Amino acid sequence: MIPITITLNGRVVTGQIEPHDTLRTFLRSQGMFSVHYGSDSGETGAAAVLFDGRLASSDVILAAQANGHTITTVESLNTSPELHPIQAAFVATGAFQSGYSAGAMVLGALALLEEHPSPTDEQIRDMLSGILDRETAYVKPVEAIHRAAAVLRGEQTAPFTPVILPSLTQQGEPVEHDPSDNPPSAPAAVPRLIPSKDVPEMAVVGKPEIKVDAVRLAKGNPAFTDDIELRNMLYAKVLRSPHAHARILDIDDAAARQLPGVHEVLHYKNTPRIKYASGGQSWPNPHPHDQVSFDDKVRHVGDRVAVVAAETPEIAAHACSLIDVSYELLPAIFDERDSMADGAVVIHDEPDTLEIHNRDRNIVHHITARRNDPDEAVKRAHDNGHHVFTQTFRVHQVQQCPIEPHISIAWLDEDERLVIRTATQVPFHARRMVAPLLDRDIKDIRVVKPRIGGGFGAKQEMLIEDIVGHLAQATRRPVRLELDRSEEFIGSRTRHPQTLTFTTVVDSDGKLVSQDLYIIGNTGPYGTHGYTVQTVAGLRGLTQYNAPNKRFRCDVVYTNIPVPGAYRGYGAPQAEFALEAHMDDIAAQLGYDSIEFKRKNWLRLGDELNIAPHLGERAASDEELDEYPRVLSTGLEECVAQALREIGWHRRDDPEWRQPADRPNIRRGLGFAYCMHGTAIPFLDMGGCSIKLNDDGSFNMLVGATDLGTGADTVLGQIAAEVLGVHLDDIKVYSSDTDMTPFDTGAYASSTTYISGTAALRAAEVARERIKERAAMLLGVEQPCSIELRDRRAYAPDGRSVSMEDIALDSLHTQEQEQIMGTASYVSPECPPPFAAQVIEIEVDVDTGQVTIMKMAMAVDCGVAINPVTASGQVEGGMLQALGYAHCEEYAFDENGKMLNDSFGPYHIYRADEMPETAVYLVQTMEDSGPFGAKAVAEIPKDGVAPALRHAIQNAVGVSINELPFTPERVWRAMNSAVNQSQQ
Amino acid sequence: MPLLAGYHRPETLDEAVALLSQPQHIPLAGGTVINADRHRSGYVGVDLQSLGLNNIQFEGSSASIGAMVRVADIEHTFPHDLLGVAARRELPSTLRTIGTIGGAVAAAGQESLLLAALLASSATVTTADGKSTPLDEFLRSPSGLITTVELHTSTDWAFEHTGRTPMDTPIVAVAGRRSSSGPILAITGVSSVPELARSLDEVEQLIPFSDFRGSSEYRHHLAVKLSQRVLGALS
Repeated sequence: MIPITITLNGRVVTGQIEPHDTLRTFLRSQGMFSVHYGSDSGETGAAAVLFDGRLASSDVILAAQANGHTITTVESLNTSPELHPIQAAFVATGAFQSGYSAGAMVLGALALLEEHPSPTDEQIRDMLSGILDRETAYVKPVEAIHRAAAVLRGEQTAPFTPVILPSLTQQGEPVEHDPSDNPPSAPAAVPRLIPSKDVPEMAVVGKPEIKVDAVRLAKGNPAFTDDIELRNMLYAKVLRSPHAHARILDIDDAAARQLPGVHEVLHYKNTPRIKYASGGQSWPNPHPHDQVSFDDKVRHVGDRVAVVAAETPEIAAHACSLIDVSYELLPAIFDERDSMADGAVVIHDEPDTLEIHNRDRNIVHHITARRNDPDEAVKRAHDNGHHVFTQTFRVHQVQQCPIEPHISIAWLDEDERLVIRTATQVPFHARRMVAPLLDRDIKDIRVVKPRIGGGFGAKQEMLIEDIVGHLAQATRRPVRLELDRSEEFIGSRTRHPQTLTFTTVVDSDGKLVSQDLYIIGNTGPYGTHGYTVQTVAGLRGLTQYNAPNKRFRCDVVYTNIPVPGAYRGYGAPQAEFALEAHMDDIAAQLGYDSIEFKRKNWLRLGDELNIAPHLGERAASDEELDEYPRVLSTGLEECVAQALREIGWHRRDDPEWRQPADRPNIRRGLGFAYCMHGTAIPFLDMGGCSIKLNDDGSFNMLVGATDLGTGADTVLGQIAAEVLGVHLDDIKVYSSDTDMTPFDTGAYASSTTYISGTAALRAAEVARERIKERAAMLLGVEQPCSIELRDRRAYAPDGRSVSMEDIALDSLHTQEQEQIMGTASYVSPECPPPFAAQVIEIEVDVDTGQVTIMKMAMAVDCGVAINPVTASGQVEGGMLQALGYAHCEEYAFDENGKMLNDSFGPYHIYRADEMPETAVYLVQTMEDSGPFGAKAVAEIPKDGVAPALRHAIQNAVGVSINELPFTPERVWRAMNSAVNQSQQ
Repeated sequence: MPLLAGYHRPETLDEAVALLSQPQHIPLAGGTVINADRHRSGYVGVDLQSLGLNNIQFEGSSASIGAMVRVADIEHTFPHDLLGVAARRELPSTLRTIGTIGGAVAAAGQESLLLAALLASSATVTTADGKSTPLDEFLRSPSGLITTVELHTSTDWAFEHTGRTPMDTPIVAVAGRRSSSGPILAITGVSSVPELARSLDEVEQLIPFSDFRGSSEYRHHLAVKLSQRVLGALS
């Protein structure tokens, strides 16, 4: 041990450390919970602190190196209940989503503003370059720092509210783009809101309320899974497969067990073989159940082999290296097209995995859905004078990259029940799914979801909860397992690679006659979300345009790549890339303007969603239905008009703009994509909520919904506050604890605002009715329905009123005592689609193929944005992830299936100092089926960037690329190929 | 994390050299590379922070930079020089304040822009034994504890790069400086360390490696194209 002394937040601190201890681990041992793990190599910046006044990642600083130095964490600012101006500015602008890296951002701003009281955008973005953020696209943090700087200079700042804009369209009809009409001037972080006259003015809903969890995030208070200290905690480490496909002949764990400090080693030889599917989905989980906690076969590099629980993470890792595993190597297969071929190795040859569609050809599922007869449409196309277009696209494997990796801590409580504190999007599914694996009843398990540092679908999985459960039961001690960044890449979940083939028939008027989509979906070695993601891909790929004939066919196949699963968008980004690209190319070949061609065919108000009921977990059969769901709200034309104005669409045809005279190697381009998504899964997603009134007129609201940083807790609180006539601050939201809160299917499928929000609305309505009755009694009013709740008071028609506090005190203490509370749940028969227009501006270097994104703008019809600031943050963050998908992120493997870029840097995600300009428009519509008119917003930003970027590249350099991402070499080769073809 | 078996923070150069002569003892500069390596274990770190190697001295158009000078300080000290631009791009903000110039030289990264800028600036490396070696020679056979890096500063420079995104580590980058004897080019992403070239012909002779970010053919194309641009700018 080495003695060290540091000055920590102005206080001299001494300690004893091991030579290998990092400053991060030392600081956390001192209670500095704002310092978070993102990776061992420091590039996430989640653990950044001020080291002698300079922002530095404490992951790569040894505690010994810090001896004698001055360290500052964000806890230094927490000297009073009030927020420091920097913290306050981040809160006011909605700059924290999950808040996992909040401490680092605030500290970076503190250091920056001391040196530069009036920083430039470039200086701020440079400071943020070392703090990776998958949530905000950095837009609002930059604005927050500008506003903090102004406050610290003694200047007044205006409230952070949306810019209200007039509509450009009337009655949803298209308008011609006016080149002379300039977009509004406002900071990028400010949402542009186009109100609808159908939406009434409300007190809390629709307002940019501060997030209910803002203070805890800004102060770096212990809120995340890891921010808990338990005595006698053991640390788990997973031994992972170095082989893509192998049978385990034997495991000898004797040496590992003999290592001092090791308490348990688990593997296939000492763990029950109980089959399950890990996707966090409603009961019953889709077959096949093709996983067990520890198998005698590995099916991808990074697959589980064994796990160790030990006194320290280092001992656990050392013990893993002492486990002797004998493998029989098997051929491995990575491409979904190869995996279906005759003679390919069978990946699931074990007899106890049932319901594999075609085991010998690795086909897990074969999915079909149809309306009318696309084959006939193709067959008769020639005779009918119709055009037939067939095109194949390939999309790749990427990762969600939440900055907080998967982490779970499990222990036996005083009643010997198993408590699992875990970073999950699906606590109720996780409890139900883990129970049989641990041979426990569901009632003997409690799953607690604390604050999550981002999920994006990666945590819609029962991924590691069984491991800590097994170990906690075996050792009877608390056990913690946190994945490192490499494990997060190879051992968690990713987006599905796919090969998509569209065949479309178009009549002589440019109307679609038929659309057929065939997908080969690569689900890696396990089914998990393979079935549902592909059905959503079919749904999204075949819904947003009208065509009387439609067909979806899909083969979901096993391969030996790291396991794909849920990722924000859930099949839509893949399908909409292929669909929009296909439509662009058809338009070009038929001589149409792309937007006009799409407009001829896109869904309008009242149009049928004509294949939706035939796809999905609760899909109807292929039989024709009497009635199909329809589009009941759309602001698409307004979205298009706003987006085209924002990007300056007229420049697309301006040769002088496209080829700047002073930069001979540069070509510019603009691109457009139309997007449509869904809102929740009808007849399946369910959310529950209960609300009770407290003595002071405040309310406790319990919801099963999981806030991933999206602002769900805030939005649900706003909905309840609006119903109850109180302020958001009067609603204390507690979410996602299987012992305490009502059930919720979880945070996925763009469902939380719509499903859980309606549950919150209905629970609040139940409470409201009882409050009105009590108020009527107190005010001597005969008809409770005439009572109106607003401003924390209940008003009689004659203007007399009683406060919510007085109603509470009366009901709890004075007469006919009762607990006023409301409970409700909601499952929807509808799936109202949000719509959007995505535009993008780029520059292409024709010498190198390098594409530089200059600007992205998205106009979204998400119904009524309950909170326009958090909604716009969702769009900004979604566009950032979508840009990575389209432009730079990609799994790379060697020939043996080992990932070559399992760390940030080689796997590049966008940094603050390279993000293009962005703008977000929220086009209001009134969706009557949603709470206060709301539809979904979280996933649609993932859908349009890739096709819009492809469209812009076509505009800039005239090449069409059917494979993602648009890397420099891929674009360069496409340009070379085009040149070669033109010369032949 | 690496399993460090021990840690020393010597106060003098002699003490550091003596420690480093022992088995398994390795110099610990900033730590951005060594401390991030979770697969290395059983070594003893010799922390160089107390050796007084954190000064920058100027003499005419030459600068002498202590091995422990942080990359962030190079960026701030040479804001308009090739070196400062390369330092800015070498590491993100939270690592730039930790990484050192000595560490960058010792790590000898094939994609290090800082190393390319130093090569183009005709840098020499001085080690604890007082020996000065041109950087390109040092990179071929590194030896000794780096104490200072000397280089020529210049405003007559150019820099071109191509990456997946604007701030991605470039697939290929070319740093160029006009010296009294003509242009000097240093090219990243083509070899195990940045390559020096004095003419386009030399660039044409390169046979770059391939990886998932760029094939050999593409890297060769970039090296030539970007070198043409740099030479054009320098002329």
